[in-house]
Amino acid sequence: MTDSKEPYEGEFIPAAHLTPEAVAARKKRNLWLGLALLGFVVLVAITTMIRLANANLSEGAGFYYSNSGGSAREDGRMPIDDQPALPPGMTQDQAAPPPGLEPEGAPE
Amino acid sequence: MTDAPATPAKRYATASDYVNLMKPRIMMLVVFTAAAGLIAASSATQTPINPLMAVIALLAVALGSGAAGAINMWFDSDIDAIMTRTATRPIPSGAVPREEAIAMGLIMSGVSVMLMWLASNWLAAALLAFSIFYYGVIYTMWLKRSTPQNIVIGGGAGAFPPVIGWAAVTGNTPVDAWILFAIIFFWTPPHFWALSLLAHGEYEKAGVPMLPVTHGAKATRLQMLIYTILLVPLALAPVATGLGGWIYAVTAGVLGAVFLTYAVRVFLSKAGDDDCTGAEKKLARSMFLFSILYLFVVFAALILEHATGLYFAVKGF
Repeated sequence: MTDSKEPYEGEFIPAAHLTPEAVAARKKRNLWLGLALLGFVVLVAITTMIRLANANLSEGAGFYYSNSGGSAREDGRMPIDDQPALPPGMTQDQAAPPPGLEPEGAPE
Repeated sequence: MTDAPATPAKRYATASDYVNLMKPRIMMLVVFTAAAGLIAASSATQTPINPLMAVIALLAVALGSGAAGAINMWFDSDIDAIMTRTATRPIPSGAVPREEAIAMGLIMSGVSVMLMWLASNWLAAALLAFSIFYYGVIYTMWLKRSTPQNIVIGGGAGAFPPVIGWAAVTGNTPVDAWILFAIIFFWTPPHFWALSLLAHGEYEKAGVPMLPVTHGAKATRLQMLIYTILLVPLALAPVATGLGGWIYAVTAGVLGAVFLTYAVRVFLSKAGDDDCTGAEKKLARSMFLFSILYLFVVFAALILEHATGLYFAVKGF
């Protein structure tokens, strides 16, 4: 014997009825949740901005944050000591620019 | 008219219930000791840290502490409902459902670790993650209900904050950081057992094997004295390594002597015994309150020296 009644036919799920106190409590919770999410977004934004401000974005350097303000010079370039090693067989003299041809922005 | 039992009125959670879920008083101590580690590390190693990043790192520590507290309250809601001292907490009082507490704890754990990583480095984030795991799982789920040494081993969770603060600045954890860890680690047993001497009946009712319940008050008083004897010279170790100067040395020395006096007096008393007097109960309570003051002031001395430039090295070490 089978039940010929269609599933859920004629059934009605009543909407949840919340008391005014429950609605008020829910609103407050939602507000605090929203504020917490906003706070999280702001904090991530701040940390990202500080990281970017202190990051060494010059060629050959990774996206690395340093508490001490990073090892990059003010022009964003890496100091000579931190530059990648020369190719095998090349000396520092060979790698140096010709006399009189100083890099842009070099101190006088 | 019938005498049907009155059902308690349904209580809706307020923001303060969620704040209480994070154990705010413990959080304050955690943040304070983390700040001490952070400031001392920056000063002692001459490593500057962006002030905003430092604040965010401390916020991450606070969130991590709150997350661990929420996980603890989720797991312990059954025994919290039995003990008078904890029956009004958000879960047993019916204000916050257990599912919400664990969800909040897990989400906040993730957020705090991520924030710490963003604000400092992976080591500080990993230490924060481990300390949450230590408190939420090792202490709460395993040790608390299985061994009378629960708060001794579990004390490690509360001892991590200065190490995390140090790691957030320098990216490593030298011996100075671990000395600060050890100070809190050895401070925890006399601090907590002073309270449990007063509340051992509650723990017994809830089936929690606290030392006064399993070994009696006398054994507990002896253990408190032993840990305090170990703590007092240990608290002076930063002077030997050069981390603490004159202000720290005098503060830790004087407060250590008072703490030791309390421990000796409690040891000689009958605090926690069935026939103890009101004065002896009061003594144990005074020791508990003093222990909080002790830790705050000792770490405050460290902060004062390193944040204000009032560090004067102690010669001869």
